[in-house]
Amino acid sequence: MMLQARLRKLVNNTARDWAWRRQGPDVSPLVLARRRIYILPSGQGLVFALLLLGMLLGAMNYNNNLGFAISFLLAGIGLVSMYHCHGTLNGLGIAAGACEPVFAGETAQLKVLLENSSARPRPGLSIWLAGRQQDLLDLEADDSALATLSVPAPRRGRVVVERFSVASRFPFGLFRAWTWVHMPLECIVYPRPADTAPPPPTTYTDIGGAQDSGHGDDDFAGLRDYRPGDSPRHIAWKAFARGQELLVRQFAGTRVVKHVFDLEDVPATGLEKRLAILCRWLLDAHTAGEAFGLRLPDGEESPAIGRAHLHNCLRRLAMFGEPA
Amino acid sequence: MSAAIASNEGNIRLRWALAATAMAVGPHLLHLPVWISLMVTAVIGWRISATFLQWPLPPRWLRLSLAIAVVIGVFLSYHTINGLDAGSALVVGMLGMKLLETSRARDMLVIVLISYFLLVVNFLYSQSIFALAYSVPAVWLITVALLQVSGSRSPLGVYRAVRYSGTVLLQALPLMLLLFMLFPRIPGPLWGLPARGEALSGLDDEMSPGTITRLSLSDDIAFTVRFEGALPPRDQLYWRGPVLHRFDGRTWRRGWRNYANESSYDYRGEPWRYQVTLEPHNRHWLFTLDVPGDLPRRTRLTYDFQLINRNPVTTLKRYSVSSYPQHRLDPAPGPHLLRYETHLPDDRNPRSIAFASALRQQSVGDTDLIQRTLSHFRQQAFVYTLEPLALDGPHPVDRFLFDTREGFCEHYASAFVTLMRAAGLPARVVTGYLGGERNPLTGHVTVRQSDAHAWAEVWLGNRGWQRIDPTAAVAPWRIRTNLASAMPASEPVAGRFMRRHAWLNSLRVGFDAFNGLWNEFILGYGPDAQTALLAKLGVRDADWRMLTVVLAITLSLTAALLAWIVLRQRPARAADPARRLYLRFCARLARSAGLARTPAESPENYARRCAVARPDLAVGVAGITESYLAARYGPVNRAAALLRLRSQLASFHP
Repeated sequence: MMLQARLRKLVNNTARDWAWRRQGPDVSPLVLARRRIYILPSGQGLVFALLLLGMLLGAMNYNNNLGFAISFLLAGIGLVSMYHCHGTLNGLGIAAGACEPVFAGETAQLKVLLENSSARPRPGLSIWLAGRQQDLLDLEADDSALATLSVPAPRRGRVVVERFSVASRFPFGLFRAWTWVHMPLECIVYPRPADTAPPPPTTYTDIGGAQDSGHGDDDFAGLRDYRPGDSPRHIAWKAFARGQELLVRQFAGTRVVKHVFDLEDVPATGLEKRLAILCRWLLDAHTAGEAFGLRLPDGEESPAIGRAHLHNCLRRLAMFGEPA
Repeated sequence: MSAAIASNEGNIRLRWALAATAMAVGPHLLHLPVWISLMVTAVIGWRISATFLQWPLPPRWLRLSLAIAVVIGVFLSYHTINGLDAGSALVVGMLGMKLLETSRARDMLVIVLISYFLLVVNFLYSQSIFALAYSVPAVWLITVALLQVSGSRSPLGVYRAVRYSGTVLLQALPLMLLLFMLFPRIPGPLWGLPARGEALSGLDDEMSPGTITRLSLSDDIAFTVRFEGALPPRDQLYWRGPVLHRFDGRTWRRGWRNYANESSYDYRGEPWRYQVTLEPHNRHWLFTLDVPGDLPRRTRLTYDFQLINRNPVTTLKRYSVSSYPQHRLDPAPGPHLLRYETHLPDDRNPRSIAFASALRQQSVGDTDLIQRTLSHFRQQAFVYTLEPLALDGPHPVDRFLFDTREGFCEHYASAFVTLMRAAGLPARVVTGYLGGERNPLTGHVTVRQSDAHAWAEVWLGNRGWQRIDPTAAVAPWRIRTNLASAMPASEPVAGRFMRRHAWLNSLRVGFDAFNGLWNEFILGYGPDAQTALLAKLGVRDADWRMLTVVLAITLSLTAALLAWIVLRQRPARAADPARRLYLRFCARLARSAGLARTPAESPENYARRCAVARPDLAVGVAGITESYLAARYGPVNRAAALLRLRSQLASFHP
């Protein structure tokens, strides 16, 4: 059993290396050509062949011509199904899809776009990673769908899948056609946020209009264009009544908390631990609606708010010290 | 929710598998023991209902005990679990048990594959046209089930699954025909044929009063013959079967089975060539006209000129043979042989023996003796009938010749040979068939069991063995027409009702014609026919090596053609009209300007690249690209942009 598993692994690796030397890297998007689709009988196909052999021997023994006919018809079905199986992959379009970043310890959901531009449906397409089936889907004629590869992301940085395979056992499961795709798929992995973190150093907390932070609505500072979500109380109705655009009054006393988190100032030892704490601070600041910036030895993000900014900062944490 | 969908899809797959099973099991219900038929029908019905009503499956212990009960039941029904009948009962029974536990994809696959297997087993019971007609939809349905239980993520729609499987079957058909014709056929059984138990009707190798009479009640086909060239005269169609030598006073039995040597017969004249398709009769002998030459393979001729097959004929057998009507059989047999052919039991039929001695003294030679004997049959009030009085007692020939004087061909043949032997002339009984009916549609001669006949052979010195048919003396019309016309209307002759009504008769003739062709070309196709076919194609003396080569070549060619049919690319007809036009534009550019659009290229980038490569086309390309984008993605006036695109494309000729 042990030996068999090792042998199988050896054969698989040899075949994969051979395919790599033969095909080279792939560029997304890719349309599968005939020469890179491999096909072998499946286990089910071998059982079917055994059944055929039994039928054939029976037909021979009893000199039964209709028995021969059925056996040969099934053999024909087997052969034809080989072409059909090959055809489900031939001409299939494959493209790398975008991947939502994850935190370390979660599972990355890598996406592959499968596109069928032919008039023939392609049912039963499966995506495989390291000998394990990841997804299975049916494509109609002129149809496309996203397949998902779930890869655990234990560490900060990137999850990279160098190659995966796309396979099909359609129509009768007698053959398995597959192709190795050497198309790097990657996913950014943010550091896992520290469960408990010391409060961020206060020195970097900057409160604008510090004198009267409690009465932020008093000190009129000017007008700006209306943005969806602004409070109706702050809309300059008088100006609107005069026929101007919708404007919003701004006050100097509005409380703005600004952080600049610096890796150097994290009270912890060890890079990963400090990155984890930074991550927690970023997330907490974002949740609190506060502006935050990030300073790392290799660069700086100036303070700002919003999801995009958060992800930029997290991305910097993820890629810190990683090769670009 | 998704679990519910998955289980629903599983039920759809299961229902297909069950439908396939039902179809495959159906014809077996005719020969299975009633309890298995009832059980498997009930199980299939229950399981189908269970997929609709979410009934739970029986517990493991119950299934296990049921399975054991089935094995015991089969053993009790057949006293074995081996052989065709018990084996198929066991397979069907176990299939029923399997249905009780089926839920996973692999279990469904198993029952679908067993369904295929049951179809083949059914052909071992019947290879009729009806069996085939049933099997075509059955194979189709099982293939649909195979498609539905494997391969795709969700089962296909009914119409699509049926159409797709049909396509695959049609594509597999040429391969099947090729393999059927060219796959090297190995003659004979590979392992012992289990006895089928049932006696098949046909001639036996012994004859007592009543044997052939019984046979003549059957309208079953014994064999069909296709002659090359003209049909021989009807009174020459004596199909030679078992030759009987040993007589115990009532029953004639066959002698020892020595094979003929070359010197014991000679041929003259032109032979009749013909092909016989013989229905299985579980015996070794084949039927030929006198006297066969150019023997088929794996057959031999015995010293009494029967053609003997190496194996019993258990399946339809087709053979080609020539017969030489001008022949001389055994002009110089050894003295022990002549003694053997004149032997009679001393204490039986004394009146006949005395009568024969009297005839011998009146005659002036062997020929005269024969003539006198035949005249006796003709002049006395002998009756040819299918319902003679029973010949009781130890001296049946005496009773027939002098008391009852009515009988069928076996009575006349038996009495005649007895008289000849008693008179010292070597004689023997030959059984077989006489005549046959020519099918006007195909020219086949159909010989039925009702054509069974018995006649005599006597040895006349250097003229050898001569055929004498004593029946001809009593009922000469029997020789010239068939039995139904030879018999008075009151006699129960097989097939007479059909012959009386013209339309029924034409129906019968048509079916016979079709069945004859079916038997000859499909069921009778075997090693010999294969060799003959290849010879016609120009490959002489093909052995299995040659066959393999021919098969490999033709198979590769067919497979390549199929590969082309299946794998050729058919781009989808885009649903969006603007996209369709734009793809046409891209194809035109790729064809005439060599500028194929790469999959990753946006229309703008493509237009830019084209403009750089072919500045002369830049304006047209830019215009079409702009219209396309407007027609496909524009915020307003898409219909107008589509019209513009259409006219631009019409005048775009790179």
